[in-house]
Amino acid sequence: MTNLEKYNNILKRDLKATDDELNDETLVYNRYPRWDSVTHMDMVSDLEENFGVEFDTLDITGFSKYSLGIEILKKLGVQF
Amino acid sequence: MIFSLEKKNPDRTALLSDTGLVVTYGELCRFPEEMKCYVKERKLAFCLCENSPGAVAGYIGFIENKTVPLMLDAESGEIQLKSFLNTYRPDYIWAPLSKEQEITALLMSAPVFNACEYGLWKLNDDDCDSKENDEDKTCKLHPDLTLLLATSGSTGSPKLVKLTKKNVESNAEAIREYLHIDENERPITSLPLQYTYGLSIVNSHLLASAKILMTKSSYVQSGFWEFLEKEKATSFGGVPYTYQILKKMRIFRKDIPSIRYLTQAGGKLSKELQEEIGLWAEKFGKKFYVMYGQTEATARMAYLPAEKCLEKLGSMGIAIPGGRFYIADEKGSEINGADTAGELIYEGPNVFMGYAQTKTDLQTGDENNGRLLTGDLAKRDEDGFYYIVGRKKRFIKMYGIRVSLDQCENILKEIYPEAEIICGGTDDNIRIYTTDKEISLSSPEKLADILKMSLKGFSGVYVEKIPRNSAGKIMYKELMKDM
Repeated sequence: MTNLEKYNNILKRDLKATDDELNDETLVYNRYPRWDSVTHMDMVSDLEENFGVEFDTLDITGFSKYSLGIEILKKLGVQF
Repeated sequence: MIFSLEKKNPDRTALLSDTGLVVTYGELCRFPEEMKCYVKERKLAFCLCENSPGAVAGYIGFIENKTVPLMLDAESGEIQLKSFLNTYRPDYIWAPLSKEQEITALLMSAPVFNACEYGLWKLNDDDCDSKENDEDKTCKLHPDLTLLLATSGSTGSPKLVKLTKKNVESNAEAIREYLHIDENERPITSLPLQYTYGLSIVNSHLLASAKILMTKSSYVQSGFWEFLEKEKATSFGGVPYTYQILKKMRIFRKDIPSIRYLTQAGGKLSKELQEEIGLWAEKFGKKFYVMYGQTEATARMAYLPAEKCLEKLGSMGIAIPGGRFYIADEKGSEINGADTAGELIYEGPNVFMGYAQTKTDLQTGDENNGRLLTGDLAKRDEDGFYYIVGRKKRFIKMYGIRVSLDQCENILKEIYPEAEIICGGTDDNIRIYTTDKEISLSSPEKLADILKMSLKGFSGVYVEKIPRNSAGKIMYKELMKDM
């Protein structure tokens, strides 16, 4: 499984999202119905656990739409 | 005016949004006049809340015009709004203009008045009363009724808490006093306005002529922290879950320079977290207040003085100024000894009038005489500090919002009429016990969606049978042995 697939699977599971929702127009914090503060922190935990990284405060607050999660993981050394 | 708004310096900023919208105390005072020709006294309004100046202006405007606002979440969705509309048949709706299309489509009419990015919709035309039914024509809202808040988030039937002006003002004054709030404070909104705790922060700071920083961003978003830093916010409040997240965000590893104090209410904070935040506060010269309240007491009933935070871990403190607690045994008599648990009873000027479940209920006056049976089991230590030890009724807190387990069961019984379903659990963790494997898998998502809460707090548990005693009563301890 590629890292992108792994990332997509975590978001799909935590947000109950479908494949065609995996984009920046749909998966936006607070706009996508299930992406609230509770689910947000669950996703952060799951991403940290699965990719072996640690988000700092700015990473947590900066993760506000689909593509930004990938950008943050790249910055933390994950290859995409 | 409420909170003596007319006595404030009119040039001072009352409300400032992160989008740059400014409302001064002078403008806030004039606003009810602007609204006056569109609203009538003793009519019912829905105020659809978001954390923006328009919501607060509308709230003040209705109260000053003796129109009674019911505070609801602007994001609660059409199904819930319709349920409230059908039950309470309001005369007006005050809603953000970002929702204009949806509201106009729902009501089949356009707003009659706009201000501060909000609009006013009328449901019953004053000249033509055909839409208003006979019951509503004779329905006179009780003269003391000033404000309505919904209980227990969004579960089941829309039950309301009826509050008087005295309730709202006395609680705001008590909070101002014990938190030492003055005009130099700048709280940032971290809780919803329709939530009693969020509203109480706005009320107590308006009373103190402070500047309220309003943002729709949550504390997990960068916008919140940028606004806090730019405008030098001096305080914010949170429920236990807020503080769990803030800890996870590693907020308490460093100083937040502009912050003077933080507050916590809406459920019991763990001792570990209370200690961690207490130590952070001590290190950086802040104050951290653990508090206790209910919508039925307008908002707050108790606070733990900040200097006792580390000494009295696990305590929710002492009664607020003007209030009094006692602990009652099963017969309702006062227990005088220390460290004996019983039901916590509160007496004070902020105790609500009563509940409403229909529009007719809005006509009745005070039923409580300033006394509230909290439904919480508590004990008092030798120094007079109170500790919550459990709940008498089957309520738990989900992310700070009170949820009735009985109502959860009722919701699920409507979806699965044939199945045997019992709800149990602890704060932030609802368990759905059922004898149907399929339902144990599908029900958590259904219930979370209806309650508009995060799915992570719900789990389904398949059991072979629901344990009952010889009288047929459910044995909850046996059922929840997995917890």
